Amino acid sequence: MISDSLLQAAMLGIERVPTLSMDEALEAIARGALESRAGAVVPSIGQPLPVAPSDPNPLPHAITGYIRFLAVRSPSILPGFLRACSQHGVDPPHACWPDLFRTPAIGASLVADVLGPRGRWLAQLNPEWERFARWSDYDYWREITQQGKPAERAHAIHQLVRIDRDSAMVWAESSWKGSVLATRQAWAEAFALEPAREEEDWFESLLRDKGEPVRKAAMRGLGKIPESRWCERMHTWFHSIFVVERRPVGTRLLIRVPEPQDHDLLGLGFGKSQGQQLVFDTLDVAPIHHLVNDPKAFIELLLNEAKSDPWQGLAQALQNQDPTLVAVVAEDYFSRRAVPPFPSHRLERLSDADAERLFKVVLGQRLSSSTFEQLGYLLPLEVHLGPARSWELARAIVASIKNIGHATTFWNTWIASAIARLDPFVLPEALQLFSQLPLDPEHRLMKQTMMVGRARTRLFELAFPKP
Amino acid sequence: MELGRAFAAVNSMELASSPQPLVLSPSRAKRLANVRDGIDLLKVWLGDAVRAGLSSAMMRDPATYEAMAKRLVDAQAPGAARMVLKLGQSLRQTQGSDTDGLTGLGLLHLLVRAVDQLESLPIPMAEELLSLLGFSTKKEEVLQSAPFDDTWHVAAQHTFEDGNLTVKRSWLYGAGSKTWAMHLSYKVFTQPFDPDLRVGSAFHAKSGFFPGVSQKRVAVVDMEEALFVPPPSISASELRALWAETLGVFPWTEVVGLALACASMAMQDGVLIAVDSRDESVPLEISGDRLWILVAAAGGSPCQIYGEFDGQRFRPSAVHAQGGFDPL
Repeated sequence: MISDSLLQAAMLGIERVPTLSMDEALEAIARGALESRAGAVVPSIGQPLPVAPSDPNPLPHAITGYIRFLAVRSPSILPGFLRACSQHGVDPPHACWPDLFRTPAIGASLVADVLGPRGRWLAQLNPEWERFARWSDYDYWREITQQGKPAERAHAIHQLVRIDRDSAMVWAESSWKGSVLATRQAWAEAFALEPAREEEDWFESLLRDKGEPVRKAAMRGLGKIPESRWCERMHTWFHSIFVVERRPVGTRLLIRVPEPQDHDLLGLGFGKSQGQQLVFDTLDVAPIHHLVNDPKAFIELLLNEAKSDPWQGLAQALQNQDPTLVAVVAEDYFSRRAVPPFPSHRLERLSDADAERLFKVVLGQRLSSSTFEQLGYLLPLEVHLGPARSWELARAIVASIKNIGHATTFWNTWIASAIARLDPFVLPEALQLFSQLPLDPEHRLMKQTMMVGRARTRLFELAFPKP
Repeated sequence: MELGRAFAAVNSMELASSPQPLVLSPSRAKRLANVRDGIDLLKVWLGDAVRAGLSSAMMRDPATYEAMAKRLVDAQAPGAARMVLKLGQSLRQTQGSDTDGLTGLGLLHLLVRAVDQLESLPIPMAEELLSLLGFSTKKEEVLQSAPFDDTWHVAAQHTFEDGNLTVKRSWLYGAGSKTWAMHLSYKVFTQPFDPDLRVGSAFHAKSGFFPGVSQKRVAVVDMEEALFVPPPSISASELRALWAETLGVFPWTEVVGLALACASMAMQDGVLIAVDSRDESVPLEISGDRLWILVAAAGGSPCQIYGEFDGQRFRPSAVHAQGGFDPL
C-alpha cells in the first residue's frame, strides 16, 4: 500500500523530502499502486435491505421492457395500463415500479389502487415515493399538509380531500387561522371540486375570507351545491341584469348595468365588470341550470350574439359547467371550421354521445386543411368511441389523407400522433392501413411512433390476453 | 492472496523470458521505434514529476499533461497519451489529496519499464502491451488466425466517449468456450454501432480472440440471433481474487466484466453494496433511476448482477432475479 511517507514524498517532491532516490521513489509508487489496486478495502456492510414480499397476481416479466420503453417514449399510455391492471386485479412486474412512480402522468391515487406488497415495499425505501406507500396513513397526510413548499402542500391537500374528506375538513378548520393564503386557497379549491351539501355553511363562511382566491373557490363550491342559498342569490342577481328580448326575427340578449342591490355580491367582485364579462363572471361561479330554464338555448343565444370570436371568456367560464354545454360551444366552432379556443382536455368529461356528435360534425365536412386540425384537436376524445368507432375514425383519417394525395412533414407528424392515440386493439390494423398512405416511413417521428404503437399493442396483448 | 498476485505482476516483467522473440512487421517495428522515443521522453517527464512533486505548480498545470500527451501522440503512442491525460485529470479531481494520482503515476512507470523489456515479455503480454500503447490489430486478421464458432450472450455493457468516438464496451459470455470476453464497437456522431449489441441478447458467430493475456477481446462475424441465457456468476470473494489475478498478468487492466452473485444488498451512505453468501461485499457504482430499478428487481433476495469491476467498484448494467433478466 502507499504509505503516508511515500505519499508525502510524491506530493512535495523528492528534492524536498530526500528519503528516496528518483528510481526508488518511482519503483515504490508503482508497487504501491498495484497493491492498492489489487487489495481494495472491503466496505463495511450497513443494514441489509429487507426482503420484499411477493405480489399475489404478478403479470409476466416479459412486459417489463415494454413498460420501461413507454415510460420514456410515451408515458401518457401508462395510466390506461394501470387502470387495466386495477380492473383485472393484477400486479405490474416489480422492476417497473421505479418508472411508474416517477411518471407524472400517473396520479398517486391510481398508483395506490394498483400498488401491491412488492411495490409498497419499494416505495417505503425511497422518501420521494413514500406517499404511495402511506396513502392511507393519516398521520403522514397531517404532516405533509402542514409542511413543505406551497405547491407540495396544495398537492397533498387535494389528495387528502379525495381520500378522507371528513378528516380533511377537521384539519382544515383546525389549522385555518394559522394558515397562509396559498394553503387556505388549496383547502377551498380541493373541497370545491365536489362539494357536499353539509359543507354549505363552511363555504359560506369562506366568502368572508380576506383572500380573493379563497372567496372565488368558495363561490364555485357553493355554485355546485343544488338549491344552496348561494344559487338562489345568483338566480335573483342574474334576472336583475339579463333580459332576453324577443324580436319579430329572433331574440336578443340585453345586459343591464347592475344596480347595487346586493352589497355582499358587490363586495365579492360582482358589478365591477360589464356586458359579456358579467355573463362570464356569473357562469364561472353558478351552475347555468340554476340561472335559466334552458341552458342549451341560452348558450346558443350567447353564441348567436358573437360577431367575431369574442367568446374565449365564455369557453373559460364554462369549464366549471356541465360538459354538454362545453360541447355546444365546441360544436359551434367546428361548424364554422374553426378549432375551439380552449384546450381539448376541457372536453374530457363529455358523454360518449356528445363526443361522437363532435366527430360527426368534423368528418361530415368537405375536406380541407382545417379538417385535419380539427381532428387533431378531437383525437383525445377517441377514448369515448370504443374500438369499433375508433377504427371507423382511423379509416376516415386515412380517407382524408388519401384525398390530399401527398405527404408532408406536417401530415407525417400528425398521423404519427394519431397512431399513438389509437386503441391498442385497433392499432395493428390501423398501422397496416396507414402504411398504404403516401407517407415517408423513414420520417423520424413516424418511426418512433410506430415503435411506440407496437410496444403498446404488445404490452396490452401480453398483459391482458383476449380469452 | 490479492497482494501476492500484485507483486507477481511487477516481478513477471523481470523474470519472464519469452522462448520465442516478438516478430513485428517492418511498419510495426518502425512505429515501435517512434514509440520508444516517446517513452524515453515520458521517462524523463516522470522523473521531473517525482522530483518536483505532484503538488508543485508545474504538476498542477493541465498544460503540463497536455504537452506530454501531445508528444506521445506525435510518437504514435496514443494509449500512453491517454494515461498521462487521465493522471492529470485524476490529480485535478482529487486535488492530490489521495492515492489515485499516485496509482496513475505508478502505472506509467510500469509502462516505461515494460516497453524497455518488450522483447523479453511473453508474446501475448507484449501484444497486449502494444495494444495498450495504441497499436491496432485488424479484425480480419484475428478472425483468420484461429477462428471458432460460439454462442455469445451479451450480459453487460458500458458506453463512453473517447475523443470524437463513442465506444460501446460489451461483455459477452461464450456458451461453448465457457469464457467471458470483451467486445468493442465504435461510432462517430450519429452513426449506428456496428454491430449494435444489446444487453440481454445472444447470437451465434464465427469468432476470434485478439492477442492478449489479461482478458479476452473478441471479434465476431456472421452473426445469427440466438436465445439469451443469463451467464453463471461468481461470489464477491472470487471476484476480488480474479481481479488480483488479472492484474497479476497485466497490471494496466482497467476493468473486467462478469456476473456477480449477490445474496443480499445493503445501503451505506447512499452507496448500494452487494453482499455474497459469505458476507463479502462489493460496492456498486450505480445511482438514480438505475439504482432503484436494481433494488426493485432484486427485492432484497439473491440475484446475479452483470457488469464490470474496476478493482474498487462494480458497475452494474443488468440484473437477473426471480426468473427475470432486466437491463439497467
